[in-house]
Amino acid sequence: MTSQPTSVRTWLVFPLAFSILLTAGYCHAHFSPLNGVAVNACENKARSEACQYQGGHNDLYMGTCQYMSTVLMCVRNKPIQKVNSNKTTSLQEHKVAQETPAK
Amino acid sequence: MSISNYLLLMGIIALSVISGGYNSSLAETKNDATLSKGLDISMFAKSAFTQEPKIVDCETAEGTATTCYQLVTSGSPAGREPGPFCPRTVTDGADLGGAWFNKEGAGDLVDITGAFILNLSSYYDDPNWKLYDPETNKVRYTATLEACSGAARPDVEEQYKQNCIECEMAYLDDAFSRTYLIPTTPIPAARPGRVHSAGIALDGAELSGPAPVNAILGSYTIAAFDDCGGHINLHQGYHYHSATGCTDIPNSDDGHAALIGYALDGYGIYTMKDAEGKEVESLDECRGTTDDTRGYHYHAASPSENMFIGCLHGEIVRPAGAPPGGPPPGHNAPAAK
Repeated sequence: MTSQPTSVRTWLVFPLAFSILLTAGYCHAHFSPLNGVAVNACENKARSEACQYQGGHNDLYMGTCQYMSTVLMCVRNKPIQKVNSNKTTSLQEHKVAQETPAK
Repeated sequence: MSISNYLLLMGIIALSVISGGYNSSLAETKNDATLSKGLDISMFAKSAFTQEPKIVDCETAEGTATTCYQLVTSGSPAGREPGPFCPRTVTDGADLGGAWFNKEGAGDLVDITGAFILNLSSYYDDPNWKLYDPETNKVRYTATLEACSGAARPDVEEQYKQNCIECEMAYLDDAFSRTYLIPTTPIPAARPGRVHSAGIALDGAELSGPAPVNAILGSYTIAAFDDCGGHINLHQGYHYHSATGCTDIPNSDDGHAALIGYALDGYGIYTMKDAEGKEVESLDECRGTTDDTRGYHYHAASPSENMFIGCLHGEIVRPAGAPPGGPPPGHNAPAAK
């Protein structure tokens, strides 16, 4: 008899806790301005390991993980790329393409 | 051919060989010197230093005995007054405020206008931002030495949260100075070093390591830069977190990017883009590359990337009391804003 309420509580509490965790996780992930994404890109990576992350405007940053003081973060060493429909082009190429009138 | 003519001919040949060998040797020496050429004092602003730069014996963190330039600065940028930083009201325009990192983490800085302060909640998608008094429309900013001291640090004191942070050079001790020891000839390191501080700009101000942005924003503060991408704290004086063009000196006619300063290892740091606005494609992990004119050198990241270089290619001299690879707590990137 006592196990039934516990089971009900479990069924009620678990989805609630899960949804709270999901929300918290979303908020945490959402609030990652600036270097947050560059730091996250090097999570579970070693120094000098290749990394990349996507910024706003479909910009793709590619580089390697480097220590900035004590924090490992992705240091871009290639021109910013554009992620465009599964096709990646460099920003410089993209700009040239935009500025060149279609024939 | 007479003996005298024979001796004359042999003498000419011998002289040519010696001369040619000497010239060749000289050329090689010159080339080596060019490739390993480090800091050029003449590139700095005249008033960048408070003492005449001198060459002293020094030892790198890796234990290499060498000579260094000893550069002493006042901690302020030569030739200009820092600021403005924080606008005073939410109606102030860009001319009355400074700049801050773009939230995208790349590209140009954004102006800290009154409207920027007003719209921080939507900019960062967080309703808790409130750096102004809604009744007076005045911007909350650190207006005293005490406020500067309590706010311009990673662990912002509670009372200074929800503030636009700015400090004045007048808050620094009268005896405040910064001393840099930079190898006269860069020494490639066995492995790249961590960046705590990147180097020194041509106006004598520090090219700092990354600002602790998450700590700053997490305290609901903006550690306002001026339009040159620098700001002041009590440990570092005025220092840059961003290359915005204020210290650039085009120093070659080959269209190469302009020099902005030197890294602590003595290699030059140049702007991100060249004269045509193009970025170097083949940078190494430190954001460095090599060419025949400049030898090894770095290219700074974009203004909002919160870094100048990715790592240190050469050996550096560790300041007294500093942890491996950088200055002591309070002077390094995490402790500085």
